[in-house]
Amino acid sequence: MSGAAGLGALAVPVEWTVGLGLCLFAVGLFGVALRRNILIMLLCVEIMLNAANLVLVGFSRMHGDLGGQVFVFFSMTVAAAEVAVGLAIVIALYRLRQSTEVDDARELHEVDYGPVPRLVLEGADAHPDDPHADAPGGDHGAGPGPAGAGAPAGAPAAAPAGAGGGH
Amino acid sequence: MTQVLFLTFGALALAAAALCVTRRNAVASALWLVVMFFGLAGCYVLLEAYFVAAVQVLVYAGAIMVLFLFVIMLLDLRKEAPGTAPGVPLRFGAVAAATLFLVVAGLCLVDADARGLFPDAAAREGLTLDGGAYAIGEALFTRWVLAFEVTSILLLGAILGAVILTKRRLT
Repeated sequence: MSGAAGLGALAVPVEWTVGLGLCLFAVGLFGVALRRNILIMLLCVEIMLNAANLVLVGFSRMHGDLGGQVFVFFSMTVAAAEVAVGLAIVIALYRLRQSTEVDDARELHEVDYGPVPRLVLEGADAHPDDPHADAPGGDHGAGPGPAGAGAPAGAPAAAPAGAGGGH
Repeated sequence: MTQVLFLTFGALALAAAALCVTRRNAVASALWLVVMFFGLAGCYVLLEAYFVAAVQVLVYAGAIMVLFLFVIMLLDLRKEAPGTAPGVPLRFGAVAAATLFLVVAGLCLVDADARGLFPDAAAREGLTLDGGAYAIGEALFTRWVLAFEVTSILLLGAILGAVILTKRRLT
């Protein structure tokens, strides 16, 4: 398991690792900016997370410190949580719009699209005119970049969570 | 030999990532991403992070990608909806964003290299790093145990969020 002793001069330079991580991150960024399908955008986010993991492992090796590799595990856990919640949002959005294109999720204000999943606790008043759906979206219509992409995914998540935690 | 293999696996991962981004078919994209995960796992092995490589294959290529493929097939997205191809401004913007990032980050890398922030191979001759399961587990449950526990809370929150988001009716 400890093959590091004899590698010395033949080992992979840190610059290569970081360079590969940068290229992978650029590819992922390109994909998030280009593709309009939420599922593909989530795949591209995975590419960017993996690029960060690669750089973490490279620097962990450069410093001889296991902390970087441990952080890769935390990063993987965060990625798993992100995928679970993100795919749940995608499915909830697909139920509303029958589409996974971000351009079909531009209007995040209150429109009657049928039954919306909402957490209503027993005995709590429901605040029917709660403007929670507008809060995270903000000015989202203009930018085609990652900022515009993040807003449609964030707002449906905030709606049930805000109703559940606040009341 | 190590360097040649690293370049091979790195080129494989990069090519698979590029194919994943450009395929119109969502299932093909996901499967190319699996190829990228395996390429990165090879890179991790060459960087002597053996346990990370194993977990990369098990968790990423195994669990996360199965979840993705399940949702893609559940929503039946094999064919992209017509008229959703990215327009010229979007393509230009995406290329510009990626190029800008690559130029800025690459300049940072060159600058850090010129300042000698990356010690050369001879300088780290004495450094050994055991990336096996035993050493990782020891570090995880001693030095990073608080972060480990916080991670469990994060996962609990993710589970609750996924359940609440996908339930039709919660009364």
